[in-house]
Amino acid sequence: MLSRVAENVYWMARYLERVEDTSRLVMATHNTMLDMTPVSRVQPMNWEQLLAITGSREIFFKRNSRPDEHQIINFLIRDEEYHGSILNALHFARENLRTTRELFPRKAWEFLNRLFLDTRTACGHDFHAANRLEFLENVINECLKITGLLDSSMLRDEIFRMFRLGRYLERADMVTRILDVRGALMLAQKDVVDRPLRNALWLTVLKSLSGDQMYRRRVRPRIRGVDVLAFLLKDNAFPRAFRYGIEGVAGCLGFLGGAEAVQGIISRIETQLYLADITRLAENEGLHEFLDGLQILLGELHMTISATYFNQEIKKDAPPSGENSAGSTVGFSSNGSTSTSTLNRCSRPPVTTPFTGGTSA
Amino acid sequence: MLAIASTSSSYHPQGVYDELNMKANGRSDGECRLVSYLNELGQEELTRRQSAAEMAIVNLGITFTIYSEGENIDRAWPFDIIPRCMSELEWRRLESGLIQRTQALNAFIHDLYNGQRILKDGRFPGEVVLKSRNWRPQLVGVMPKFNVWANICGSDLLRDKDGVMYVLEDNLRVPSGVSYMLENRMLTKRILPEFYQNQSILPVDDYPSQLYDMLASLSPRPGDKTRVVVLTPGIYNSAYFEHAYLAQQMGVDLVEARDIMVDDQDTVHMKTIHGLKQIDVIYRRVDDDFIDPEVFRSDSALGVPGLIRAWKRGKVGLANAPGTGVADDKVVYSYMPDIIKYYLDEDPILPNVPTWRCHIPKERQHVLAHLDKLVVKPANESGGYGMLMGPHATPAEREKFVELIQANPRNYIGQKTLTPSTVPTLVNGRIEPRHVDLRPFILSGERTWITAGGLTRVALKRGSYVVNSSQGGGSKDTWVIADMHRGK
Repeated sequence: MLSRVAENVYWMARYLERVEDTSRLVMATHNTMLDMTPVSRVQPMNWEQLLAITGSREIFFKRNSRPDEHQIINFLIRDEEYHGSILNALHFARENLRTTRELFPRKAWEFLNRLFLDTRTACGHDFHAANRLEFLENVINECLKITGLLDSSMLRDEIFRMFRLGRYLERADMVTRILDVRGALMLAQKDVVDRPLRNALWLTVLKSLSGDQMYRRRVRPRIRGVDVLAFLLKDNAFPRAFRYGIEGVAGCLGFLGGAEAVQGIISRIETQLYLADITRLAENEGLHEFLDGLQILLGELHMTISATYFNQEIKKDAPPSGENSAGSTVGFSSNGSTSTSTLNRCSRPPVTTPFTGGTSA
Repeated sequence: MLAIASTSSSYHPQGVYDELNMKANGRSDGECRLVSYLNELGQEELTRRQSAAEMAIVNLGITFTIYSEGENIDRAWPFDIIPRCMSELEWRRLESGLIQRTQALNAFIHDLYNGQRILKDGRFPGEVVLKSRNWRPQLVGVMPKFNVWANICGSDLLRDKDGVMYVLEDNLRVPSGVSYMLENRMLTKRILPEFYQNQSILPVDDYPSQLYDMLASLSPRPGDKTRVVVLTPGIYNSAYFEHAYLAQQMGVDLVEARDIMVDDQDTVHMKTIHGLKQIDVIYRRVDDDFIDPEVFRSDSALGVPGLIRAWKRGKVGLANAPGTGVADDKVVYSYMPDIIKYYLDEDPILPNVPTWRCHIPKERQHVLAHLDKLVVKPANESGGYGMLMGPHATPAEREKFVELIQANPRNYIGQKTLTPSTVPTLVNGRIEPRHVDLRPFILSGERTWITAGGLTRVALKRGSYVVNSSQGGGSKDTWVIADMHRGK
C-alpha cells in the first residue's frame, strides 16, 4: 500500500469515527439535559463540557459570544471554521475517501458522498431542539451503514487494517476525553450530587459510547461509577472500551508489521492500564492525571505511526529473483504540500486542564 | 414518418442527418425495437427515469472536475438516457478502419523516432514534424515494446449530412472518456432494464481487463509479479474520476508523482508502507511536458525525475509512450491517407474530413478565401480550444485568424464544416434531436483491441455542435446491436 494512500485511509477512518462519536455525544447530552431540573442545587452536567471534550473551547469563543445550548450545538454540528464539526469532519472523511475510493467497495463512496451532501443541505438551517435528534440519529445510522459495509465486504488486507487502526485510535481517544471531562467533574461533586442524578450521569457517559445495554449485560444491571469506569477503561470485549481499542490498534499494527517502535508505546499504555487502581480513580484520586497520561501516550502513538508508515526513511524491497544487488536505504521526505487532503488532518488538542466549572447557584 | 413522433410532436430534425429518422425505412430490428420501447414507456415515464439516472449519478459520484476561479468543482456527469444505436454491420466496418489507422499511426511514429524512412523517401514533409512542439528529439532511437507508441488511442468520429462517418481527429496523448462509456452502460442497464431482455447489445465491460492485459504485456520483467500503476496528476485534474475509476477496475494502485521515484539503477519504485516496491508499467495520465522535469519542463511538479531515463533503458513500460503526441497534430492528420498507403499499402477505410493545410501556399489561399465557410483549427490543441467556426464567426474574429494564419501558417489547418448527425435526446421532458459525435477507444500492444461502440457525446443545447462536457455537452450510452436475424 502506498504511504500516501495509507495516510488517507487512516484519516478517513478517524474522521468518520469522529463524526459518529460527536453525533452520539451531542445526542446523549441532549437527552440527559432534558431530565435535569433547574431546581437542582448543582448542575454537574452542562453544554460547555462538550467544548472541553472536543478540545474546541478556544475556537468556539473566537466564533461565538455565549456558550449556550443553541450556539454550542450549531457550532459542533455545522460550524464551517471548526475542523471537528460534524459537517467538516464528514467533508474531510469524504476528501480522504475521494483520493482512495478505488480501494474501497464502490458503495462506500456512494454512501459517504450521499451522507455528506444530505448533511450539507441540512446544515443550511439552524438546529433546534425539535430537529436535532432526527438529524443526529440519521448521521449515526449512515456511519454505521458505511462501517458495516466495509466490515462485511472488504478483504482483510493492509487497507482494511489501516482503516481499523484509525478507527480504534479515534475511539480510544474519545473514551479518555469523555471520562476526563464528565467523569472527573462528576466525581469532584460526588458529595453534593444525589445518587439518582449520579446514576443518570453515568448512564449518559455510557450512552455517549453506546455502552449502556452492553454494560448491563456484561457487568450488572445497576449503574455504579466504579463499575462504569472499569468497564469503559478495562473491558476487553466491549468495542468502545479503551482497552479493546488499544488491543485493536496492537492487532492492526501486528498485521501491518514493521512497527517495533509503536509496540513500545502500546506496551506502556497496557502497563498503565494494568496497574491502574480503578477503585482509587473512582474516588477521584488522580483520575485526570491518569487519563491525561493516556492521552499523551495516544498522541505519541499517532506520531510514531505516522513516522513508521506515512513519512518514513524507507528501505528498498528485496530485489526480485536475483536481480540487482542488496537493497539500499533511500530517504524520502514527507508528502509534498500540494494535496488537499494533507490539510484535512488534525488530531484534536488534548483535554489540557481538568474542567471543573458548572456549579450554579 | 417517425414512430417516435407519436409521443413527441416536437421531434423535427431538419437539414441534418438524423440517425433514427433517415433510416425510417431501413432501420434495423434493434432500432425499431428501441423506438417502440420508448413509445411504450411514454413521456412521463421517460422523464421519471431520467431523474432516476441523475439521482444515481449524484449518489455514485460520477463527476468531472472543472476549474472555476481557483477552486475546483465536481460537476455531475450530464447523461442522456436514450441510447444511440448503431448496427453491428456498420460498426464492424468502422472497427476495421480504426484498427487500420492506429496501426499506420504507430508505424509512422516509430519510423519518425527510428530511421525516418518516410521523410527520406519524400513521402512526408520533414519540417512538419521536426518543427512541431510535440516532436521530442531526446527520444530518437527508443524502441518501445512491440514498436507501439500509441497504446491507447481515442479517435473522434462524426457523421456528416451525407451519412458518412468521418474521422475528425485521433487523440493519441492521454485520451479520456472511457470511464464514462463504462458508466453510461451501467446506468442504462439500471434505468432501461426491460430493453435488455431478448436484445443483443455488444458488451463493453471488458475494457478494464483488456487494458490491464495490454499494460501488463509492456512489462520489462514479464510474469505474475508485474506491477502496473496508473499515474495521475492528482485530484485537481479534470479526469481524476477516470484515473481513479480505471485503477479501481483494474485493481492496481493509483499513484501521483510524489509517490514514485527512480533510483540510481534507473528502476522505478513506489513508496509504500513497507518501503520501496518496483514498478513495471505506468499508465501515465500526465502529459509529456510534465512527465519528467529532467528532460522536459523543469518546473513540473507533476513529474518524476528520471522517468524518461528509466524508460529509455527499458526498466519500465510507459503508456502511451512519451513522444507519441507528435502524431496528434492536425497537419499530420491531413496526411493520414498517405501514411496508411505508405506503411500498410492499403487505401483508407475511413475518410478524413476534407482539410486544407496553411503551410502549403495554394491550400492557404483556399482557407483565407473561404474563412466564412470553413472551420480553422490550430494544429496542436485539443478539447476544441482556439478554433474559428467560420460560418458563425464575426468579421473581427475572422480578421484575427487571417493574422494568426499568416504569422504561423504551419500551425493552422482549414476544414470543411460538418453538420454532425442528430439522435433523439430527452430535453426538458421532450424528445428532441441533438448533435452527437463518437469516440471509440483502441488498445494496441501485441495485438489491437477496440471497444464495441465507444463514448457518444451529445451537444445538449439546441443547435449547438459543442459536445465537450466542460462546455455544455453530455453523453449517452452507445449500443452496437447485433443483427440477430442476419442471414435469414
